[in-house]
Amino acid sequence: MEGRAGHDADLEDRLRRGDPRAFEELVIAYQHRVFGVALRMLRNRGEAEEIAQEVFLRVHRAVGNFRGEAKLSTWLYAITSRLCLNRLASGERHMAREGEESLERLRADADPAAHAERGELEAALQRAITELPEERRVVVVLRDFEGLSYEEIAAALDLPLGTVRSRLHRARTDLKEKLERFLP
Amino acid sequence: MTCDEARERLSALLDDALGPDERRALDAHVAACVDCRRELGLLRNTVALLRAVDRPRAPAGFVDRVRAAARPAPWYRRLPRALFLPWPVKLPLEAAAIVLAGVIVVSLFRTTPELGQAPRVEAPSPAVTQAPQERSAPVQGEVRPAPARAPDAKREERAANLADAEPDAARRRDLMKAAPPPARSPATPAPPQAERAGGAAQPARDAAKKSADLTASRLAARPAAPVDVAGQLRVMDREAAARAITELVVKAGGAEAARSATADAMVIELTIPRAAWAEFTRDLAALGTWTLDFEPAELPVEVRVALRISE
Repeated sequence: MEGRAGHDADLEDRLRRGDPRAFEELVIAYQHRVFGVALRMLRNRGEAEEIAQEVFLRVHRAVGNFRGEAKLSTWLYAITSRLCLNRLASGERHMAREGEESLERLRADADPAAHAERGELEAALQRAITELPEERRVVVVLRDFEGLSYEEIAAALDLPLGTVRSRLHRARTDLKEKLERFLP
Repeated sequence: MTCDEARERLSALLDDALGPDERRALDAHVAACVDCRRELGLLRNTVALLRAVDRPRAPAGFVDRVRAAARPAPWYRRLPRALFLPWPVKLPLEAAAIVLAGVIVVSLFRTTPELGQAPRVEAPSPAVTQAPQERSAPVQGEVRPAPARAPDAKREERAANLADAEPDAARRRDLMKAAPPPARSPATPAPPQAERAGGAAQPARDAAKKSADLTASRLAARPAAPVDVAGQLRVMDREAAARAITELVVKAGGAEAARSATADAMVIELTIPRAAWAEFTRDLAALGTWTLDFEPAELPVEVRVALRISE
């Protein structure tokens, strides 16, 4: 995402000026990232799409007030994370158990043994992530799935850097213990 | 650096997020500690496993759906939403509407006391409207409707008839009321009927006004509770009859509750014990012509009576 800085700056500028094409470009550019965070946090495609749509609609409504102090991508992740955490904290998760599924796919591996284990590993990985406390889950999703820096995570979640570091450490330690049998 | 301190920093070491001093100390510890080195290896593999997972893709058509949702709604959909959906607007509006409705209702009741009495007036209304038509003509003996009269003349006659009958009707209505108000517009019960019956007939208006005055004077003396029995006593000497009734009441062990008089009649409201009721009515009949207006099938222990004495 860092390589997109120039493109994002131009996009922000056009969004603020109300360029109708800019919003569409933003959705095209970030749809998979926003949807991915929502799906990993909520584990339900329907809810994830609902949250992702809401993220872009909020951006559409509020982009005039965006002052560019944070990166556009950080702003998007901040909105997505907050909406997911709110949804998890609320009692609105009526679909959560019905539509649970995993979209994650390990990258195609030439090793037949690794390929054979994929299904079991996917299930274990999904379960381990879901079992993380939400405040740790969001940090590990933003860091290890989305590649945000500690500073970006701290900005997106409005947390001190030390808190990000300790939550990430605990999340990874939890995952390591649960996935140990899959580790080389 | 202890092992616990080292392991707290292993995750940050993987992300190259340590300061130079921390990094140097941790590197030295890991180089010397087999367990921490093993722990670092496991953590590194865990992170590698997570990062090996493909990012999920948004569903097909997602962009179109977002674009459609972001499109401004037509003005006729935005208007009610703008008015009612935001809570900061909706709540004060609703609260103001409730307060306004309450103020209107209270002010209506204050400025129009008839509204407050309406339910109590309505209850006996059938008796009021029927009684004059059924009883007034034979009793008063003044009106004999002619079959071939002009419509105007009929209206005038009916107005006069109603107006003459009104004292009886108003009296019965007054007596039947459960809890009358302390003050009331004198014109309330009678004029509407008189006006409806003959708006152009001056005699009818005069009669209606007279009946309204009568009603007003009776209203002022109404008992707090409805009476059980009402009747009329026609006598030669009204004052003498009233004195005799006072004695009869004492004799029967009853009590007089109220008394009011007009130019043509006197109304006495009193209470008579049920045991003495039969003898009391016999004594009344001895004073003049005693006619019962109404009497319940079963009398209460204390019979509340309204007597209209006329000559």
